[in-house]
Amino acid sequence: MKHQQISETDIIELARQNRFKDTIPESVRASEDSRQLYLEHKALFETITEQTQLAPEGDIWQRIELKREVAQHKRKNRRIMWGLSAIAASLLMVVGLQWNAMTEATNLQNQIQANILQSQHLEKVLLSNQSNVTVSFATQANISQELLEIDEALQKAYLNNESQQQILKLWESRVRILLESLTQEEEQSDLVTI
Amino acid sequence: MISFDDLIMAKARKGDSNAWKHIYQSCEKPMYSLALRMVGDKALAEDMVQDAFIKVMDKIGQYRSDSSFWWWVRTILVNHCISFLRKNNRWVHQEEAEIESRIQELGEQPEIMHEKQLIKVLERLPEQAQRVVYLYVVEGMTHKEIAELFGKTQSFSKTLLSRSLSQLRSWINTTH
Repeated sequence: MKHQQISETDIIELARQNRFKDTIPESVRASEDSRQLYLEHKALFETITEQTQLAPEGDIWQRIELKREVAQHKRKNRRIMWGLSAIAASLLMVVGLQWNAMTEATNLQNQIQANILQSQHLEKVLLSNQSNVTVSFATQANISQELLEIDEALQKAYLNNESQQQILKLWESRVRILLESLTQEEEQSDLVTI
Repeated sequence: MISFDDLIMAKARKGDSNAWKHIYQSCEKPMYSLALRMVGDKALAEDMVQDAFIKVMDKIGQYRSDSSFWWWVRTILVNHCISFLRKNNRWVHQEEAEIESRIQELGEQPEIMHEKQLIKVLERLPEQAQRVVYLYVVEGMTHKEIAELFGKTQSFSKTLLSRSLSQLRSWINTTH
């Protein structure tokens, strides 16, 4: 019977494929040298495989869960803030229309305008901070909900032509909520680390 | 071979946390072991696994069920490790001759004979050689796949593997 020569490369590949199996392929049985080489490499590969399989020391799954939760919360907050910005923008359009209808500026109108500008500025700061800071999830959700309610009240106030004083009160509330939110962010960012 | 039934995968695609936890627990050890061979540091390997698995979760929509899930996860992990090493100037581009020379020197170090475990001798090999050995022996990657990963020729992979295995076998024959 003719024995086919098998290359060392092929012997090594067979040894790798047959790790942890009680197999000696026909092709390596052709010669004692091939067989010996095959068995040596097979044993070597089994040892390498066994000794390199290690479990991590830390709880990586917990870190993955936490990181995902933070990322999801930030995405949700960004969506809420963009939604609020959209409402604020539509409010400004309504304000602008009504402004043009006024024949003279009043003190109340100036105060309303000042609050609108401050509100816009604080929102920009808040949005910018939220991409960097991890804060209490419940706190952010509450504040976002409060802003949503105020904006809905403002829309109604403009559309129903409510008094300037009422509208000013609502804008002042909005500014107050944004200021509180920023203050809380600063306090909580010192407490939380990931 | 890591694989999951259709139900687990369907739940994972819908964002089921328990399904993902089950998948992660099956992948953790092989992912960590591979990452450790790639980056050579335990804490860093944990970071690599964390970041890579998050990518797996985010990109699950891109996974095709007719291909090996482990192959897909491994690709993400290895690419993430190499990207990290490159950004931090740790993906060392050594010439083949230089690596071979360092492997050769290993056999001439007397303290090698005092190593009790094969893994300790493996860890004395040049980093690229360790990676080639692990990717070939444990991950079952072909020389073609390894060469593409390293941006080298198949000859590079075969030569590094051959020299490294020769040293490891020499250690075994001398000490056992």
